[in-house]
Amino acid sequence: MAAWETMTQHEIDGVLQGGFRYAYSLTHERGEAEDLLQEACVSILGAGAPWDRAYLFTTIRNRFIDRYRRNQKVLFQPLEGERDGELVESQFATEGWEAPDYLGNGQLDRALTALRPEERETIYLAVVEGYTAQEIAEMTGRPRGTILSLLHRTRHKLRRLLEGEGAAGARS
Amino acid sequence: MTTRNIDDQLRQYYAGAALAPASLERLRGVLATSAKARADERKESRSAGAWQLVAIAASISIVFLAAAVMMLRKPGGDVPKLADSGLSERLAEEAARRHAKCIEETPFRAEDLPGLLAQMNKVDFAAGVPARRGLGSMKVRGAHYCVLDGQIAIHVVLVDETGSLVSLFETKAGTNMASLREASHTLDHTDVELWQERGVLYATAFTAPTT
Repeated sequence: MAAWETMTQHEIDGVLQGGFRYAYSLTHERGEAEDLLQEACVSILGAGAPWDRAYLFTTIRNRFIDRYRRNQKVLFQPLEGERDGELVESQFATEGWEAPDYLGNGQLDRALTALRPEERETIYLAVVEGYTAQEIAEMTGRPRGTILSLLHRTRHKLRRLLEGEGAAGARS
Repeated sequence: MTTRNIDDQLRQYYAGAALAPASLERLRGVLATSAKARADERKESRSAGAWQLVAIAASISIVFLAAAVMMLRKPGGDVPKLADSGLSERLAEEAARRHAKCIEETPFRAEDLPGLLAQMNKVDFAAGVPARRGLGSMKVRGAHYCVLDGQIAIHVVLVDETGSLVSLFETKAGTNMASLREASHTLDHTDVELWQERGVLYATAFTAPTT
């Protein structure tokens, strides 16, 4: 178990930045992501729990769920008609499609805002953090088949959102 | 029009979503303060409670040992499996029994599992939320200290999404448990799973509702 006191400043900053990005993928709001990260860090230290990236992610996720439960919000919705094993791992690993630059004009940010938290979370963990479907399933407590299905649908949804907005922009 | 892989754009997007220097500095301060408070608290609780804890654990172990010996000597009684079965079966039996009998004992209460475990600092291992099985997202009813395989342990009572009670046990993974990585048993309609994470032995017990 890594003790935070024995880590270098650089290592601590790395874990904090990773935790912040994961929290941001859930909330898509910077202030809320910082609050979540701080709560999770205090909770981990208070419990004397291991100070590592995976544990921090799990704590952040639990805090996020608690917050939304308190606010009576619908958080993680079931996917309609999903079946375990509907997709295969190779589809999970498929690289993203070639697309115009959606970063510069804020289109990607707006499209991500339109995604549900679990959609942003899954695409973040898979694409940015590079976790496998099995690892994401273990982290989130969902079946592997659900993760595969969720990622597949999220990619389609993101594409629809981006191309839809691009087309609207081109027409105007 | 130039095109770029959308995954690269996502990575670049999230790479840009970094903590501002001022926020990072503030968090470092929070961490330093929390770590110092935790260290001071441990120092105090160790000196005050260590002997008391050892005495309680030893007493409970003696009671269980005596009970086990009596069971083994009882002729023609229920088949006692403590002596002739493996470690995982023995642990599973203890977990199933405690799940059946002690599930209403919840003197420790908190809103969530990390908060609950933070209160239960009289143990000689790093109690934490297990990374697997999504237990951290279940509703928490409460917890109490108990003994598992003669060692001090924590028994947490959780409520799953169907409203059923699930027991989570945590204890130090002793050297005798090195070979026990993962096991599952069904005892009297109670499903027990055992596994290890970072030097902690976890067990869950769940009795499926009868239809």
